[in-house]
Amino acid sequence: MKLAPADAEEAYYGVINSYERVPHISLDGMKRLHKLLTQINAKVADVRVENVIDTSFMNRLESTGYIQNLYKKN
Amino acid sequence: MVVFLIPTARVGAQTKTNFASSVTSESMTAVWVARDRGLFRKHGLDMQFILMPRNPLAVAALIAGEIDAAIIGPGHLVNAGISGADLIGIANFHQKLDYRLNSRPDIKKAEDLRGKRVAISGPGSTSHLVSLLSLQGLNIEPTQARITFLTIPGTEMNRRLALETGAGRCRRGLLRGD
Repeated sequence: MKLAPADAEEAYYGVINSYERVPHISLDGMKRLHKLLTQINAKVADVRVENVIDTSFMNRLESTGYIQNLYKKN
Repeated sequence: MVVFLIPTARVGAQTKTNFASSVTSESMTAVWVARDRGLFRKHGLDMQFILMPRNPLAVAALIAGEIDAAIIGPGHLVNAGISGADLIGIANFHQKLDYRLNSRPDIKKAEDLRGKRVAISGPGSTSHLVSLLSLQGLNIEPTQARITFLTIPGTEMNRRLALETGAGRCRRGLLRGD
């Protein structure tokens, strides 16, 4: 499939702008999701979202400046 | 959401590993770019990509240790927690849901959704959750409106096909990035 350059450019910036600068997992977002999932399956209520996510990876990448340096390079 | 289990064997200077997803939309762009530009190899990963037909299969493969990481919807991660699966989400590329609720031309207004079927990828999937949020935004309660959620296995392309062909009398489909 070949796109017109202008369409490709628009799609490119659309994708770029949709990404989080630092891809953290939002605990608040997960809790909202958890509430919705419980409506579908009551057993989800027994799952603590804090136990299925680990924010330490992104926190470390951000605190050490690794991610910031990536943006500087580009 | 990026989920991983444990690292795998190291072969020479490259760690052999694999990565799975059923997502084929532009939300995977960063991964494709990283692969095509050799960034995984640059950082010591001999990465094999596996396209899964459905995210629950990726979850099962993670639990079985057949794959090391996957991009799955957060709902699948939480659902896996029900059985005590040792899976962890470590990153989330997008904090906003970039879905659109698409319909066949005979659906003109929200009320026309009553009694219709909405295609999703599976119970508890991101498309299912977004469908519920969409209907909530339209002030429609699915049970009261007799809306049925129809699982169309596969990727969003399968749901698009079902919508366009009317397969399973699907009247609305949740597609990503349209």
